[in-house]
Amino acid sequence: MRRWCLKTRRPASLINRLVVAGVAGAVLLACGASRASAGSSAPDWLSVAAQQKLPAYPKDTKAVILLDETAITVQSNGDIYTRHRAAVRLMRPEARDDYGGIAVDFDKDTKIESLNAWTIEPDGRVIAVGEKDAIEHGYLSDLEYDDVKVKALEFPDAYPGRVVGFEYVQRDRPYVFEDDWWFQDQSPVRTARLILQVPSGWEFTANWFNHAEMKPQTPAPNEYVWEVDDLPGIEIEPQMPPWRTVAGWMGLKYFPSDPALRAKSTGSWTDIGLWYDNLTKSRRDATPEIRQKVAELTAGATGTLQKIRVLTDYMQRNIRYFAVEIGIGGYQPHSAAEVFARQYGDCKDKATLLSAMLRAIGIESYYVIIDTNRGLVNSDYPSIDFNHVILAIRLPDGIDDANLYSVIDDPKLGRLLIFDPTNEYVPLGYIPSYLQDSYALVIAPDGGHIEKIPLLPPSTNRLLRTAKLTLTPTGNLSGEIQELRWGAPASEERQMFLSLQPSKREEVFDNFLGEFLNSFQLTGASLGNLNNYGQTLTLDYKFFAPEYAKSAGNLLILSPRVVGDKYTSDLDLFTVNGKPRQYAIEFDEATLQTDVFDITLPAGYVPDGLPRPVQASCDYAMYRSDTTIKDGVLHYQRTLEIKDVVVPKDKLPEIRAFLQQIAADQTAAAVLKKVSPVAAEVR
Amino acid sequence: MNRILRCSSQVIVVAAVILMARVMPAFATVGWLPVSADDLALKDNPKEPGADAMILYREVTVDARKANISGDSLEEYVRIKIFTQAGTKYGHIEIPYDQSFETIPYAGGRTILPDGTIKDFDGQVLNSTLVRTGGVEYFAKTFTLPDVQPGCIIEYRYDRQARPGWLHDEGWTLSSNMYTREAHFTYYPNDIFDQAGYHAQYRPYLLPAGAKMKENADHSYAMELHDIAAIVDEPLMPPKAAMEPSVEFYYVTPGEPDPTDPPTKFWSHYAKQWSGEISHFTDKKDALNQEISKILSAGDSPEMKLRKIYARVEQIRNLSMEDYRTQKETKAEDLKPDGNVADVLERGYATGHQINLTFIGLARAAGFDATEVFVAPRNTSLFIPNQNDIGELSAELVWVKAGSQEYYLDPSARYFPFGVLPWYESEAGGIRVDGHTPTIITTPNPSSSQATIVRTANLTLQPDNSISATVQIDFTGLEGGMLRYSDRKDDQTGRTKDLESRIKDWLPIGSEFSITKIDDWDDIEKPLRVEGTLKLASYGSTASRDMLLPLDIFQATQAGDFAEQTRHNAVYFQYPYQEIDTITVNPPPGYKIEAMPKPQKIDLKAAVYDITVASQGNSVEVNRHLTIDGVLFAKEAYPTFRAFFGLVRTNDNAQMVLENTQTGQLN
Repeated sequence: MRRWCLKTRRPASLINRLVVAGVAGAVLLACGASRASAGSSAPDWLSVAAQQKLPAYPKDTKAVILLDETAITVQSNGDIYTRHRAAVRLMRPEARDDYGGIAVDFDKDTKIESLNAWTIEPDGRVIAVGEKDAIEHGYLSDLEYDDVKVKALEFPDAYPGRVVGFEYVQRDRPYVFEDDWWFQDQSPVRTARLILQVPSGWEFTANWFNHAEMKPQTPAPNEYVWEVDDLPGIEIEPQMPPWRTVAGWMGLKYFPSDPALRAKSTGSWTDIGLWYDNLTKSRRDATPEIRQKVAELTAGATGTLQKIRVLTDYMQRNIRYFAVEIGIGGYQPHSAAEVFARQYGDCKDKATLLSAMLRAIGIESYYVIIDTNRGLVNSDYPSIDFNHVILAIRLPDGIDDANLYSVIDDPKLGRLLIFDPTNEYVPLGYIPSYLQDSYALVIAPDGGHIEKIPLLPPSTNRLLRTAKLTLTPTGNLSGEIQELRWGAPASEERQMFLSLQPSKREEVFDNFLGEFLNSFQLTGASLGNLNNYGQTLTLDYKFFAPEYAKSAGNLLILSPRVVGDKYTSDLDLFTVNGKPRQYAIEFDEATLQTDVFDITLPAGYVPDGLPRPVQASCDYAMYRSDTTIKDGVLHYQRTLEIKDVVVPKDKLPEIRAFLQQIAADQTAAAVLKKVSPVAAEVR
Repeated sequence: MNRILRCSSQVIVVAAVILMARVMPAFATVGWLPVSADDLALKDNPKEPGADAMILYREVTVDARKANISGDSLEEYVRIKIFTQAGTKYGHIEIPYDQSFETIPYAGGRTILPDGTIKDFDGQVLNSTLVRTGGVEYFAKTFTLPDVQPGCIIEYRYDRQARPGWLHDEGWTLSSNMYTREAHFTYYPNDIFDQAGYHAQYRPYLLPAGAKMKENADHSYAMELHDIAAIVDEPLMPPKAAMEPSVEFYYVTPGEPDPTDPPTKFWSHYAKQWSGEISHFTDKKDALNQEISKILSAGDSPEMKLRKIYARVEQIRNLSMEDYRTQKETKAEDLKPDGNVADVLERGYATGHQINLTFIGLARAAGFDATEVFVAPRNTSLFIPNQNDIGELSAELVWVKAGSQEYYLDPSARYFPFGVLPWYESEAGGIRVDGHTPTIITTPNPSSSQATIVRTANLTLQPDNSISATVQIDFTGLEGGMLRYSDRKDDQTGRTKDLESRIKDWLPIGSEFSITKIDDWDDIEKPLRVEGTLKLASYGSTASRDMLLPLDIFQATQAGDFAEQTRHNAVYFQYPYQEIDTITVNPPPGYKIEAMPKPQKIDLKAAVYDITVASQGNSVEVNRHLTIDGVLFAKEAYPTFRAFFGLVRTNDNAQMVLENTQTGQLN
């Protein structure tokens, strides 16, 4: 299960556990450690798996998972023992990077009882390694401390032609009774098997995702076996949907007969809501110090909304993100008092302190648990598999929400203003784009309410870029560009500028121009409303670009699209490792962007050719551009609207063609011809 | 391997030197220094503006006086001014330590808010596991200071205490990833070592101007420094190891060469030792002569003989190029240690060092003057002969002379043609073992002609602006060697994938490039040749009846390394190189050339570029040549290179105009 903070690690397929070759290898090399024992024998299950004959696979197949078996034994006291064993045939050298070892996360509640691994050489010899050969390490980060550690073993001699295998047993004392069985991998899987044993009187549910439902065999009372065969590998693609939404897996939930253990069952969103509400009880109590700070902050604020804004602003700018998560601390926030005293915390800590501060002004708020990966939460499958906590602020009657785009209506709780205190740059009224178009669980005293966080309309994420430029007969271009940004384009830019010292901010303009102009000089730059998150961010910059237009004979050639790119780098997403893309593409947000460029042309030049107008549209986006010349001024105007953010696989050709039209427009050139004054007059 | 008793984390102090323990006074607890109003008000570093944070004060004290009894100790005190939100990350402190030989008895800190309010750290110092395995236990003490925000000052200190009889790495790293305004370093040597004949000495590396070592009456060493620049990560920067100022302390072992000796005396000791090792390993005349008779012919020229010997030793399986093997894996494969050249030639496998010695043995057997050379590889160190630091010489190669011609070769590098050294071994200083005499040498400067990328593309253009093309790329000399080395563990599929990815980086966005053939992967003397096909849905642009095409389809990727306006470091190309492009463009039927850009040439001596375009019947041929001829350039040259690559990009993208003669007039 993942912990609830932004920087969590994902569980997933076998490959995620089989990635230690580099780390463990380096450490073992440094330590000179090796106690692998040659001449051992492999367990029967591994020997049998290794002997199977394989069908033909594509030549770039790194490895084949011969067997991936998970045996879960639930004990009547709620402890769960999981035995995981796998056999992998290494096909290519790259397999050593991905399948060179086994790494298992553990903490005080998930103890590793045993860990063993084997390599079967092509000649049948077996090299075995065990727990005493393992290395143990933690996760260090500038942003978090947690008590999760990793135990890792490197398979000896893990080269093509070998079969490697491992087996470990882990005891888990879960906070809730839910389990995931991941049976698909980045490499093909021959056989994946789940064996489940539950105590007498316990019930369970099994839900299948991204795979047809299979019925279990029951070889013994309270024992259930599922098996799937010949699953294709899922190749990782850039900007693909989350693994959970593409790979086959089964979700298990246990329902004990003992009523005392029932609270750990997550059969419904209500159950999860109650569990979390109980876990966070009294965490949001405002101390006198907090109340004093709230009074101080809101002293000059007029009206409830202004007071809310003051507090959300304080939380974004003053409370540093740092997560300390020990044990249940992966889910349970620190108390508001602790967070306030230390002035740092993770997402749930920040939500907790903000909630306490809001209470101090009489505003109720609710935790919202959500995932930063769009589409990961399935509203039909109640689960605690989230990675982030934000806040829903209940808006009192009388507050005008016209400019608050993040308001949702909950039938029971009323108008809820969704706000992410962890994101330092997205202002009140907006939602970070990575949280939009996703399901989230609002935690209320009566349980959890699953809600759809909307995709904000394109007009809320706006970029308007206007340019007044002048071209000389020698092709030099100079002038001024102004950008107006709000919504996501403003937050992204604010983040970039505010992370730098004022003296370094000019370099951002410089680097931006450098993406499009081969030679230029920035002659001025300024920013407006950088710190006023609720206001339109403005960027003004002036430049001089020598020889922007190229001379060719008596022609002067220039691209009217002087700066700015509209997603054409995504064109590289459609082919992955020389093969057509298999999965959907996601844009970050819906957006509306317009460029209006006026270039005053040198006297004596007339158009010899202008870019053709472009009108491109598809179900997800629209683009149009037009270039005209009037009164010696070249006018280039284009508009891009991204209307929907997830483009499914069957629509990829459509969006690719759309982006190709934009790319062609961006490189399109205007050709100007020098004419004699008389000819010019005639024209 | 360094034969000096250099103190390190893994060096236990020998019992013999634990003679007379003398109780030394404990360090007085370091309190926090007063905070000035000026520092609280500071908004940026006036001497190096723009950073996220700077070190206002740093104090490091290493005390080895009690190493025999309780181990040595290290105390560090750091005060940092935070300027930006990004700088708040310094509020989280991590102190890694090796539990098997040291402890962190104290760690703490505090935050001073911009208004002067002090917030002490009163939380728990947490312990994180870095690595734990079979006796090795690396942990980190971590803690997060409260209320860290831009404008505040944070400070922390910690003590490190080695276990009895252990020493830390005895030295000072003077610089940091932040600018340091003031720093104090102190070292108390172990005077009991001194009485046992192990004299403490120090070596300074790249000290900032004005830095002076002070030797105090109590035998301690101290240094006070001001305004130490941060080492900023930038593309094309010199290796960090060659930039980092430091001081290393060591103890001279009786009977071993003394680094304070004159260099001639110091290096002679090693030359004698190395010479003996060469003689011992190659002392198998029969085996060598028998091998020479097999591989050389009477009519071979001297260079031909050397080439044949080079080719022969390249056939030896190079164990140093393979993954680390455990003892069990080595045993399972029945690999025996080679004791001499006869073993190597018979068994067919050897370490890189042994392969070089085998080359020397064969060359000597063929009548050449040949010997071993130890150099400081440019990617990790600098050779300063007078420092008498054998640790700098971490790479080895061979020198051989044929008539008046001298050759520096590295057969152990495996993937580099005869006469071509890996880039980090070229223009590198070191010691040549001339019998018992050490000769200080610098290996030859690399030449740009030894590292060329020759790209040829034949483009067929369609009326809809799409193109299909055949592409051929030759990676010669060093370029081929580097690729062969980096992809040595891959199979054909992996190499193809890697090369396609590298080549795609040169091509316009949306390009579909597939390799059809890779030639001469195993023949290191030949260029590595890659052939492939390219498809692009839209190349260039149209304007009414005109079609406009950039001259070179290969993008100048170097411009990305010069994107930043400001520069902190010198410009460092690892090696000189050339790019030679020939692009043939076949226009669609009905199109003729309306205009072509003029030839362009930019000659900065160290960087030369020229591009020409000419019509060849119905097609157009573009020839482009880029040469970088030098390695290290002063920081002041950065704007010149930035402008140069800007112009390269401009001229690469200069457009030829093709006119459609079959369409009508202007729109």
